Formats: sequence, C-alpha cells, structure tokens
Amino acid sequence: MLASPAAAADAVKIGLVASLTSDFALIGVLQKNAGVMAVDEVNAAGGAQGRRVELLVEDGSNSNTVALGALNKVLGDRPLAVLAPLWSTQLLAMFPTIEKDGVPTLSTTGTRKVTQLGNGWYFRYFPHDGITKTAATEFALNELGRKKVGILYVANEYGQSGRDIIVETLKKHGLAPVAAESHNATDKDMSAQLLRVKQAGADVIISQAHPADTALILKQQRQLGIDLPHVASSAASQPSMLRIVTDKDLDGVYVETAAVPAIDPRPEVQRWLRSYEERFKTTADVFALLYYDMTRMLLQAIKDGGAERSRIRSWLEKTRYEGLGATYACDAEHNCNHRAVILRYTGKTPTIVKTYDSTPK
Amino acid sequence: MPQLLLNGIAIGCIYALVSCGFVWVYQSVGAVNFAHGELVMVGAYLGVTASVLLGWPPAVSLVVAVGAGALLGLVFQRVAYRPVRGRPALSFIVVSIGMSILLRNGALAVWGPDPVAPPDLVGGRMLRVGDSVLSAHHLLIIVVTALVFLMQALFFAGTRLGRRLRATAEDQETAQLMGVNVRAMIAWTFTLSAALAALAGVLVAPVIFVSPDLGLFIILKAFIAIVIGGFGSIAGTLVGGVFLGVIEVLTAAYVSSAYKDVVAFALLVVVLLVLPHGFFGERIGERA
Repeated sequence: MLASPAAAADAVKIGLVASLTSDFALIGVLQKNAGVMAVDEVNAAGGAQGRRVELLVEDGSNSNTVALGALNKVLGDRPLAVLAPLWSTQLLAMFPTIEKDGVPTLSTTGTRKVTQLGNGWYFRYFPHDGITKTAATEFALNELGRKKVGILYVANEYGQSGRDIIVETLKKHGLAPVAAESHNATDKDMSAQLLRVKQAGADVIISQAHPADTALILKQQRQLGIDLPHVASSAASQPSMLRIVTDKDLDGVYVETAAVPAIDPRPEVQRWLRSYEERFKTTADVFALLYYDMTRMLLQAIKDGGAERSRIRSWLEKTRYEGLGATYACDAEHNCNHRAVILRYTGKTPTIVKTYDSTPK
Repeated sequence: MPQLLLNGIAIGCIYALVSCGFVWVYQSVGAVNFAHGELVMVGAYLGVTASVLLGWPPAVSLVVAVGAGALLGLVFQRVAYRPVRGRPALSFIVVSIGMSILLRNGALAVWGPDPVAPPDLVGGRMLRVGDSVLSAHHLLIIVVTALVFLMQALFFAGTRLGRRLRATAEDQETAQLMGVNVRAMIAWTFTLSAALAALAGVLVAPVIFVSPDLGLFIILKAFIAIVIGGFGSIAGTLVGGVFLGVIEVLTAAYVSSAYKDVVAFALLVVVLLVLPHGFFGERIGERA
C-alpha cells in the first residue's frame, strides 16, 4: 500500500462504490470482495498494460445521498471507470454525475428501467427484470401450468419494475394477475398481503423483493399454511437469505436468478468459489460471481482497449467476453448479461430446473 | 380473519411492551429516551447470541437476555442520564439520541449487518383452528404481554418498591421529602424499562429477524402507539399498541397494502385532532 508518489501516479485507478455498512451491506460486502479479488489477480499477473491497478473504495451505505457523495469522492481521483452499487435508486441518483463526468460505470442491477434512460456510460452485468421476470412468469405458466398469478412486490423501483414485467408477460398470454400486493422494504408483517393473494384465488405466487423481506414472505407463507407454488426473485438464492430461513420455509420454492456458483459443476467456477471462501471466510453468491466477471471484463478492456475512458467504453460495447457466470455481450442499451435460470429448492439445496438464454449471437 | 387479528394483536403487544418501558422512563425523568428502541435491538441480539451462538435453550436465553438487558439499563442510566441529571430535559434527549447512534453502530460492529433469525420459543409450532393456521409464537407474545401488564399493575399498586417508583414519577421533590431515595428509584426505572425492552426484543426477534436497524422501526411504531394511547399512560400503551397493530394489518388486508403506513400516520393525526389527550393520557406538552 505504501507506494512511492511516482508509482501511485502511475497506477490505473478504478472507483468502487458499494454498500459496506447498513442492511444493504448484505450484498455490498460480497461484491466488494469480488472486485478486490479480480484486481489482485490482475495485479499479480503484471497489472493492466504493465501498470498496477488501484481500487478506490468508498461506502454507499443504504442512502442515495451517501452513495452520491461516495461517487463524487472517487471521481475526484479521476478513475478510468467506476464499479457501482446494484441498487437502482442509488444508480438513478448517480446517473447525472456519471454522464457529466463521462466515466464508464458498471454494475449488476436488475431493474429494467436503468438501461432505458439512454445513459451511454452505464453497463449492466446482471440480466434485467425483462429477462428474469419474463423467465419466472413463463416458467409459472408453461412449466407449472398455472394461470392465476398473485404478485408480491416491494414498493420501490425494483419491485414495481418486476411487477410491470410480470403483468406485461401475462398480457401476452391473454392473462392478468389476480392480485398484486406491495410491501415496504422495512415491513415486518406480510400476512395481510399473503392472505389477500390467497383470497383472490391465486394458484401461484411470483415475488419481487430483497433478501430480508423475501425471507419474511417465505416464512410467513408457510406459517399461514398457504400451500401455493412460489417463484421468488434472485434475492431468495443469496447466502444471506438462506441463513435466516429454515429448510421448511424454502422447501419447494422456485427462484429465478442468473447463475448459482455453489452448484455450478464447472471446475473453474468451483476453483474460484474455493479461493473466494478461503480468502474472505464467507461464501460467494451470484452477485459476487457476476461482479467478479464484470471487474475482470473491465480490466481486460483496459488491457486490450487502452487506458482511456472512451476506448474502454467502445471495447465493452463491441467485445464478447466469456466469464464464469455467463457469456457477456452488450446490446444497444448496454445490457450485457442475457441468461436466466430457474432453481427449485429441496430444503436449502437448489437444482437448476430451466435455463433461459437470449445472449445475442 | 383470525390469523390477521392474531398477527395484528401480537405485533401490537410488542409495540405495547416497548411503549410501556418508554413511558416509565418518561414519567420518571420527564424526558423521552430516544435510545429505547436500541435497547430493544440489543436485547434481541443478546437473545440471539445466547440461543444461536451459544446454543442455550430458548427459555434460558430469554432469561439471560432480559437479565443482561436490565444490567445494560443500569449502565445506560449511569452513563447517559446521571451526568445530565438536573439539567433541562433537552440535555437528556440529546444524550439519548447520541446513545441510540452509538448502540446501533456498536451492534453493526459486533454482530454485522446481516439479519439473523433466532429459533422461536415454542419450536415453530402452528395451531390449526378451522380454516386458520395460528402461530403458537404469536399466541405466546400475547400471553406474555398480558402477564407483564398484569404483573406491573400489581407491582406498582401492591409493593413498597412499586409505590416508591410511582411517588418518584409523580413528583420527585415531594417523594424525596417523604424519604424516598429518588436516585435509586430512577436507576430502578431505567433497569426495569430496559429489561422490558429486552423482553420485547427477544419475543419479536423470531418474527421479524434482528438487524441493527430494528430499534428504529420499533421505536417509531411505539411512539405512535404511545400518542394514540395517551402520552404518559401505561394502560394507554397497551390499548394504543394493540390498536395500531390491528389497524395496520386490517388496512393492508382490506384497504391497500401500499398505504398501510400512510393510514397509520393519518390515524395518528386524526387521534391528535379528535382526542388531543389520546385515549387515556395527559395533554402533550404538559410535561416535556
């Protein structure tokens, strides 16, 4: 860390803003670890274009204001690119600054709208809701043979975006949800929403929520004896959520997500997972895996494209990249991951029951 | 419907337990303790530590957490209240806000940001009544709350210590003239109030999980319950808490889940307009 001023000036700087404190740190810390791991690996292999890569890490906490302050702080050091948080509310707050500064910004958000705002500097590495929620809805209709969908969603940009895509997908099949119930991210009692869905005659529940509220929904669904198949959002596959639900709560639940490092049979993924666990003493989830891929792809862009912001952007736009979690190819909106999988949990053990892949050829 | 009512009453009972301890301190020292929610949160974490990390049986964990919570209350009184005693109420309010931040960030440092879920105290049992499935843990919350309120009524009316505490709450100077050790009584109030907060924390933890922000959520709701019930009234905390819990659940079920909190706060405004004293209490502003 004690580099000489000359060497420090020579380093390739990358900003990293993630939620390192607050309840949002569930995912933020795992992602930061993945970013640090990718950078350290590249540095150990000689850096990018022979220069050491330096990460400028700042905490975005659970507040837009804090996240924006953190972004401004890292931008003060003129980084070549920024690894941003996945929270869409924070991203939307950061967008004007990102556009003004013209800095390539990468993150793993799922919220559909984020890449529809025409921000030419932003790249997305998680399949957006248009992919995952369509997959979840198609799965409920075609594979589970259900027609009466009850939606549970968190009352924010992420939840509403998920709800809209479920409704659109149902519409294409000539259907409408029988109920769509929202809750606040901090709510502790979901029984009223669950009972409303049940009373509306739903034969399947599709939910879009964060880890802690998803855990409450699954727990309370079981407690209320509401025996309906449940297709939950990617939050339900995260280790942090798995720790707070019981086997019974999760048994039989379907989950849409982008990848599951823990059950990926490929040796390179298992090797990566083991080295992550050894180093950080915690297990990595899909968000950590994709964040690692994203960071590696960015470092590759600096190596191959050049240490200059607009060249990094055009490299990211044009290049197809084989990562551990997916094959990344960015479309015109800069959506770079197009793969969704549906898992089924037996106790806390997931198996992949269906893969939906629409990566551009 | 029975499920909804049970859930509403159970969460309302938690609001009531939290409010009750809060009101004791308010009556005793004439100022609100903004760190009371954090005492609930720390109590919940103490329960989690005993039951999950140390693997103790739920009943033992409960007793240990309440005991440790009481001790924390005593220390809190010594550190946060005693140094500003005799100064305007505002001094203690500011100190309590500081303590709330300190405890929340302390919990974040000690237990981390991930929510944790302790096992419930009755082994996750569910009771089937007709079409409804009722959670035994929710019933336990209601029974424990009823017992606590009954015991505290007997304690304040029928014991020497209870009467001294009441005298101190009523008028510190007169109590002192009558030979009551006011300092000791205030220490007792903080201790008992924190024990009750820890009890609420341990009871609510399996239902809503424990995270460092638990205190903020709970104190906001408890505050509404206190105002609805009547600021300063112990009976009011029970009625206000249960009333709020039930209204929240019924609003989410029959009006709109999105407007649950809007209705809760609108209700607060309506109660303040129609019944400025709440259901039972004294007019806000008469003390603080």
